[in-house]
Amino acid sequence: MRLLVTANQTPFVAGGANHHVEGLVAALREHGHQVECLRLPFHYDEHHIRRQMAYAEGLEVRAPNDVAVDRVISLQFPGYGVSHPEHVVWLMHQHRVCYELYDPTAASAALRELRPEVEAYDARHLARARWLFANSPRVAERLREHSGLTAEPLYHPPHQAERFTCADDWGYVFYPSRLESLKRQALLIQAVALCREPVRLLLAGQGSQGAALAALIEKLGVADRVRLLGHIGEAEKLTLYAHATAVAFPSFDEDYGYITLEAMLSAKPVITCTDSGGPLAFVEPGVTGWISEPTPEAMAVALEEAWSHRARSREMGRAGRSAYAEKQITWPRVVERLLQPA
Amino acid sequence: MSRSTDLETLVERLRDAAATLDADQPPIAPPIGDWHRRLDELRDRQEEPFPLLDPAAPSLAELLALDRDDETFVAGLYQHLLGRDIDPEGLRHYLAECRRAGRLAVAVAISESEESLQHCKQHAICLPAGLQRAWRWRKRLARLRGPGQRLWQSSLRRVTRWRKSRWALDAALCRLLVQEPNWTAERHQLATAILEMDDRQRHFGHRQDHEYARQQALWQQLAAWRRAGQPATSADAPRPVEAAAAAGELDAYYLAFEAAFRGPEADIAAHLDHYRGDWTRARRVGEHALDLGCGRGEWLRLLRQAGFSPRGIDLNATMVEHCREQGFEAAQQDALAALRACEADSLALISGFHIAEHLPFEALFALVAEAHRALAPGGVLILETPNPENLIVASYSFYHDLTHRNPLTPPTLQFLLQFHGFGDAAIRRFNPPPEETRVPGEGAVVERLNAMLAAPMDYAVTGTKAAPSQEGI
Repeated sequence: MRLLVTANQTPFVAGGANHHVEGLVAALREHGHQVECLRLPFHYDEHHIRRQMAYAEGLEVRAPNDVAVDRVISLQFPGYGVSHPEHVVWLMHQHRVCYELYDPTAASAALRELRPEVEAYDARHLARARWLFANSPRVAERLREHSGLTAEPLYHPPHQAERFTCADDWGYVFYPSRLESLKRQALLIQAVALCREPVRLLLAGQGSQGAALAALIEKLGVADRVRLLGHIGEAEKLTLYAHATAVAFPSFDEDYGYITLEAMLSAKPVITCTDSGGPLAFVEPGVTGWISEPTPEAMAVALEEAWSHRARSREMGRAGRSAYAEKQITWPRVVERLLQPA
Repeated sequence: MSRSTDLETLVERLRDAAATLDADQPPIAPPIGDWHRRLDELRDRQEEPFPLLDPAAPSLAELLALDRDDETFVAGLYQHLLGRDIDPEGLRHYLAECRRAGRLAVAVAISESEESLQHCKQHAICLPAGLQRAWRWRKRLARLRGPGQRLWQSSLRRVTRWRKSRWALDAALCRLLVQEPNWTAERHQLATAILEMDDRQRHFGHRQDHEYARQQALWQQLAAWRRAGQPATSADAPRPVEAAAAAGELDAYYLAFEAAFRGPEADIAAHLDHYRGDWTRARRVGEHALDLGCGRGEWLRLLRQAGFSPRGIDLNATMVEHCREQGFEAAQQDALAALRACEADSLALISGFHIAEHLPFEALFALVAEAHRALAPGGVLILETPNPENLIVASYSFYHDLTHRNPLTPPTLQFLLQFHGFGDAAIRRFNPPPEETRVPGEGAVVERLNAMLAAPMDYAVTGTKAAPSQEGI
């Protein structure tokens, strides 16, 4: 098939979205399709967004230059505004500042004006897509709330999934993430301070909260048990996953969350929170991990359990690996779903 | 403070481990062995010999197990009604009873025992109504002593005769129903394990493609590096050439010899068609082709049809004349000198059919190096020569031609091309000997003999000059 993938281009801003787009294009090519990835420049400014929406709507994608396109797969706003009879939308997320991140009290006049236009744009185009998928159950849920549309959650594997492995437990809980308030490293540090067991915690990543977290570790007197590792490379990340006792992922309202999947691939149990969003679709409490209230006390209980009952933690990790295998999170499966016959 | 050092040690240890990982670059993590564990489980899973659909309420048919042998039946009754393994004495006794009085009688006897009643009460096992009816019957008939005993036994036999096939079917059906969910689960487990393996296989495949491309790039780099390290050889610097003062008479001999031993021109043309893929590929790069040792010009004709403007060289003046008569551009020239006279990156295709075996190694070595220099990126080199894997060729027919030096083995020639930068150098074998050459019969010895006697008689190594490497190494 001749396939067109539409996505955004944001020069010099890299992120998980790029892995997602490139992974999809590579997988489609590998299945023998002719694929072109149409990257539309994206700028967050309201004035630009209005022009970008109009541009996407006006694009000729049925047969550009008289070359017929069999199917179009769109991943992002506003690229999903193109018109094609065989249009698949696999939604990463909507334009979030107009939805779950919209705050009427803080919104600028321009944003207030733009918002109904974006909502109308989504209503117009998302409803018209022939097939509608979401990146995760959480994204599907938000889409239902905001736009009243039903999307099938469709998972994809994390970057280089085949490289994750499990090795001897060296006795520490691992959490790799940017150091930001929403990622809630502070909650974990407080929990460690409450633990009676000598639970050790390794936090990887950089971010705006680095200094505050360092101060918190100092203040709670847990410097002998918690370490901020700063930026880590790919090999370090794989090693840290492989030797961990358990992986913590207490982040707030994630879309999808590669960390859960990476932990499961490394056969490690996951400690997450009731309001963490994405991870909840994967963690089965008592079987593949713990789902705690987002309080230091509740987290401490989970940490101690993971720490004290090593054999059980190992068993839960293995169950996680099996659960991952059963969910069929593979690119071939993604291709199969996206290219299902009309 | 000691604890903090402890944490320090851990971080150090992790960094060390990560550093090894960096150096080793394992493209695919060592298997966690999850599928292995699943498959082990499946293999080692013990089938329960005598499962019950509902252990708390077995049916009479299940207990009688008429689809199983006596021993399984008695051992099963012990398991289900007494909750223990059977002892050898009990087994002997009840096996004899089975033969004498039948299974129904044995089931009644065991179920009626104090031990069974105790066990069933304790585990809330409800025995089938049929057995309980039989107890009442036996009690009543027991009052009649001898005749009662006989009546009891004959009635059991009658009931058994009447119900036997039905019971056997019921028992088998119950067992199938018990096992069915296991089969579904096992099938699922097996499929998951296989899918996981399949997924890894896919990754290995990718990796292999990647490594292959990398290897080609390496050969290419090696060749470039070697050339850079060598003093430049100028094309017009005269080189001592093989004694080329061939008398006209000798040339004529060779032309006749070719016709007699290499077959008619038409046959050769048919054989050359094997290289269609190679010339098609080369034609995309350009139209200039050079045939070393062009002989009677079969290849030149083919190349002209394929849209090339081919040139041939040969040491044999008669052959050259033969080619010119047919309108081909041909010159009497030494192969190496001809190549040296070519500009770098100027040719799309260089071929040498049955010339490599005429050259001393130094000349062959230089010929491949020069060919790589003269080819344009994407251009193709073909060298065809007799295949010494065939014993007859290696020990006999190779020496028909008195100007042959020594046979060249396929891996040697392939390596020579790779060494000079043809990273994709591949071996292809042609012209199997006639069927009658094979030793008739079967078996390891015959197969071994035929592998040697009936191997293809010619082979070629073809290589493409890679485009400048994209990949920095």
